[in-house]
Amino acid sequence: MKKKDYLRNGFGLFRNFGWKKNLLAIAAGYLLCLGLDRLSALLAGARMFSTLDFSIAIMPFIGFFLGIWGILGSFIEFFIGTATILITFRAYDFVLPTSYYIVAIISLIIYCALPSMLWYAFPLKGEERASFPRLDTSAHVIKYYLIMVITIAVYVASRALQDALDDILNTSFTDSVMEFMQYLGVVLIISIPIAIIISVIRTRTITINERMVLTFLIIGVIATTLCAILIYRLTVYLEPDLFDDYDAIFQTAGSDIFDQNNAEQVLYRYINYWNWFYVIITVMLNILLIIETIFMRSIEKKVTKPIIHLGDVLEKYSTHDEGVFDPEQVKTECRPYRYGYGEVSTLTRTCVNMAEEIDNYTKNLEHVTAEKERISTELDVASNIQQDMLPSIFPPFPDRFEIDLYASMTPAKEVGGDFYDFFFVDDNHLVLVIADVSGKGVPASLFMVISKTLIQNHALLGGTPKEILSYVNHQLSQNNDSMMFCTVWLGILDLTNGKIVAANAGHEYPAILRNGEKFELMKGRHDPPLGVRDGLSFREYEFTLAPGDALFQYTDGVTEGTNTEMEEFGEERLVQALDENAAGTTKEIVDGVYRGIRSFVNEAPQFDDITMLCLKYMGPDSHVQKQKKQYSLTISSRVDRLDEVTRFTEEHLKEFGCPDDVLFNMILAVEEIFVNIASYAYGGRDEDTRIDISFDEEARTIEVVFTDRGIPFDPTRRAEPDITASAEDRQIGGLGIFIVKKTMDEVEYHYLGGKNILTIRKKI
Amino acid sequence: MTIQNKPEGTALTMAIEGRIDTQTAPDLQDAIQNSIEGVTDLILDFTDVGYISSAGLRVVLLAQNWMDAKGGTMLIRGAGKNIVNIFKITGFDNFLTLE
Repeated sequence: MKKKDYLRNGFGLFRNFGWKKNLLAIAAGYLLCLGLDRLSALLAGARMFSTLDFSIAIMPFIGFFLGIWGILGSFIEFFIGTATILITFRAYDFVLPTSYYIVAIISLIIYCALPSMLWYAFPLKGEERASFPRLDTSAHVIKYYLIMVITIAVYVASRALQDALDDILNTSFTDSVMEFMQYLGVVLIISIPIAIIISVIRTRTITINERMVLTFLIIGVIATTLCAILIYRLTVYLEPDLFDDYDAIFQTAGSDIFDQNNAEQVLYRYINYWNWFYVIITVMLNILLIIETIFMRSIEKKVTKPIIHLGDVLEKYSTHDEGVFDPEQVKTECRPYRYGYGEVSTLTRTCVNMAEEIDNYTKNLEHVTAEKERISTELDVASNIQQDMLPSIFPPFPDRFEIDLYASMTPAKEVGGDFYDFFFVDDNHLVLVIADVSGKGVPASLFMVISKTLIQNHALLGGTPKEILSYVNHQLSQNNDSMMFCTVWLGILDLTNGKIVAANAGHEYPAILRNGEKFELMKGRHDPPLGVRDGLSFREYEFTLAPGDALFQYTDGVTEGTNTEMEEFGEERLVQALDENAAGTTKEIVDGVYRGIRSFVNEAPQFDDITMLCLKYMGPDSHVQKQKKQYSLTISSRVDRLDEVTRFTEEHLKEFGCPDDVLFNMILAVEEIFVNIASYAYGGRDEDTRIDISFDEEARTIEVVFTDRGIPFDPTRRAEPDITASAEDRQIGGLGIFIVKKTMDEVEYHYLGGKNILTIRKKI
Repeated sequence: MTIQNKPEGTALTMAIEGRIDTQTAPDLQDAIQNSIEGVTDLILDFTDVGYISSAGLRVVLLAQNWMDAKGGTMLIRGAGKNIVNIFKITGFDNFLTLE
């Protein structure tokens, strides 16, 4: 697979960049060679002939970076150059065998292509495939260096072969070594900076290694320049006429005074000079490069690699990639550099410590979170228990038509200190309690539970409001070191006459609705809250609710509901909200006030529990006091439940000893009314109807009461059908109710507290 | 409620047994509607009917109108005291033929 890839792009050589870029590569190869050609000519004293053509030194490198296209460009330049030389020296009649040219071309091709092929054919250990040539690590530097050494060795060998084919220059082994040195030095000095510049342009980064290679190279160039000057001076000193003699050869070339032997000698001396020049450059450069590489390897081993590895490890640890990476694994992974005195060891130890700290912290956090979760759950349970302690099924006393009662408590925090309560102490006396415990949260709720229990217990013993409050105050004051207290309003309603006896221990004044018109705060007697001081006595006051009147009690969470402008809801807004809903049921009144508060405070958070209790007195129920047998059925208002209704009616009427004809008429009446409710009251919705059957033994009267919360409808006012009409003209509607009215002794309809209440009576 | 049809020529006797209330009345209506084709004299035998509500009365009224419309007759036989009372209260006795 890998090999195939290399073959496909000719070991990186035959990369196709697209025709525009290919042309550009050709031009670049050509211009680079041309430039270097001129440079070498310049360095050789502006003469066309020098011992080393720099453009040849750049060729392997061109293959590396510009591919086959660059090589093509440099070939063009090379052949033009060679042709120029051949033309210049055509007078000397150089005749070289054809094989010389063939070998020359082949060796040149090998020379250009080999580095690139070698680079891509041998990826380094740990590399999946060789990346674009870059001198970013010491390994890459070594690879590059070795490739250049091999390439130049091969080229020099091919040159030796080439020379062996002609007999002008008898190249010795020493000559070849010299040549090798020359090429190596020049190739390195030219190709390395270009390689680094290209990679910097490509990646827009520069590694430490590349900086170091460049630094060493610059030092090398400076050092070699100094050396070159020294050699030049030395040569001038030792052989003062070498350069003049050399120049003379060219001046006399082609003329009669040209001395062949002398020219060869001068040329030999001249080449010798350049050879040494290049050898020294190369040796110095190589020494510097080797030092740099050794230094680099050491840095890599001690600093770069550990830091890269540490980075990988920490990345894995922080992202939890590849499974859960715990601090132990970090420790194991970092073992090689954890011990020692260097900066890397310190860094590694710090990182390992940090990983452990993070782990500890995370574990601790998990523990704390779990604990918090547990407390929160317990608080939720506590909150539920507290909520459950408040009566929450409405209507609470469905068989008591004298009252319509509703209450609600909306806690601010998980558990609050507000509560309401209501319960019968006997058949006709209903105790109403609303209270607010000081403080919030768990302490308040504990105190609330105690207070509520004490109040209820004592009230059930039959005390008056002041007795109950005195007793509870006494109990709460004992051992009340935390100085918690509780404001309470407690009233006892007599259902037979609407009279309320109440006492107020520091609580808000109740609002009373009179004549169904306006609510008004009733500022009665006011005493200190419970639990503050033992031995307090409390005063009572009385007032009476007429039928239709209502009582509304609340806690300070209602009036002190605060909006974002820090305004309080206040008593005025409360009374206004009450009045707006005064005509509704108690639930509608309470819900209406709550909506009023919510829309007033708007975005602001709720600071205190909001607790409300509302009672409407419907008037005494004359039947309540009578001894009577009573049965009740609450049933879904659907025609298909008729059988159950009939069975229920028949069963209890038979029990009352109802004669057959009355039974027949009663069952008929019950069916007609039930079917009527099922068909019309709820507009198709599936809601309950309540049927109460009672028998007053004294009056020998059977009474059936139908209660539904459907749309108000008085069947008694329905137009009666014309019973004298013929069959053809008869209207069937209204017949059922008509039968009921005809067969029953009394049919009564009321709409009270959102309920249709239809009562039928029949004497036995 | 059960209904038994006893045809005698163009006369049909439907013997009804049980209660005719809101739930069963539609069944009776269907039964009568399906049986009276070609019938000139319909006899509804109420001997075993223990109960009738306004829904039942409506069916009786319908049946009477159907028979009247095709010039036939309808007779209600053996209705109990309570049921006759309901017929009287509602004025149904004005147009029903009771036996």
